[in-house]
Amino acid sequence: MKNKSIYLGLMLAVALILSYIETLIPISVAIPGIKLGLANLAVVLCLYFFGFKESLILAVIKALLTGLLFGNFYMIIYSLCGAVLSCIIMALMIKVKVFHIPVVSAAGGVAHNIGQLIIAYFTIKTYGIIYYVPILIISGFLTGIFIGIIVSLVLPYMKKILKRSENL
Amino acid sequence: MLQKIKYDLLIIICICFIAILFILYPILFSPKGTAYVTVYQNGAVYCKYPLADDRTISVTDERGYYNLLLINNATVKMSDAECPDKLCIKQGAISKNGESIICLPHKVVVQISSEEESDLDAITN
Repeated sequence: MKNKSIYLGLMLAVALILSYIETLIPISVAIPGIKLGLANLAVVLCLYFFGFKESLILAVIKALLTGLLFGNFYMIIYSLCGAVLSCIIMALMIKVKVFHIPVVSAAGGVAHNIGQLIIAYFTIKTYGIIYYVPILIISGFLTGIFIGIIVSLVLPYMKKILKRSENL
Repeated sequence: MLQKIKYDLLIIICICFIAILFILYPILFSPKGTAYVTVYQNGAVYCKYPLADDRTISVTDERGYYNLLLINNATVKMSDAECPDKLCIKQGAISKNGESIICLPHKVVVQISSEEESDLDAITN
């Protein structure tokens, strides 16, 4: 596909803006690691359009930049690990071709939170983290379903736009 | 219809199953005994007090970070901390065995455990 780098840049920009919008939404859950993950919309979309390699690059750059812009250093490490793990899981599920978008995205959300938990386990080395596993799995699942529904609604329009730009 | 989403359902059931497993785990394996409040810093035990005694604990580290803990009426809460997100304070009071307050920026973990479980922790550590 020509213009691929342009679309990837555009998706990164969308991801950054969505993370900014997310900081404006005041959902304060008292558990670290729970958020809407709107920026993952761009990553899931990218997986369906371009593939694993491009999405992984997008997810890593997104994690680095959102950490620098809206968070702090420890947040970068957490979201980096989560992003890489969820990207791998989602890419595998898309390759199998039997799963629908919301389920792929939900599994990605769960993988994202589990990746963060793994890092949290190694940094604070406490077995008490096990009590956070169910709540993080459930929240990752629900936000993932939400993101997946949005992606499945946006996907046909994006495909149309891409096809039109190919013909130009 | 069901045929179309059977793989999706499989994944959803798997995720639910894992979540339920982790919810049940602390309930099934929570030992009864005297409850203790254990404060961990950087993964090491910082201090340990019985939950029944009211007191305030100030947790400081070499970088000058501090967290203030309050044990009152058999509940523990983080009453003050100078971490950037203040999530540890928002988590509120805890009182049950196995519950914990985690302050990620300062790597401080406050956990309620009963005697038996802390023995187990001593072995695994």
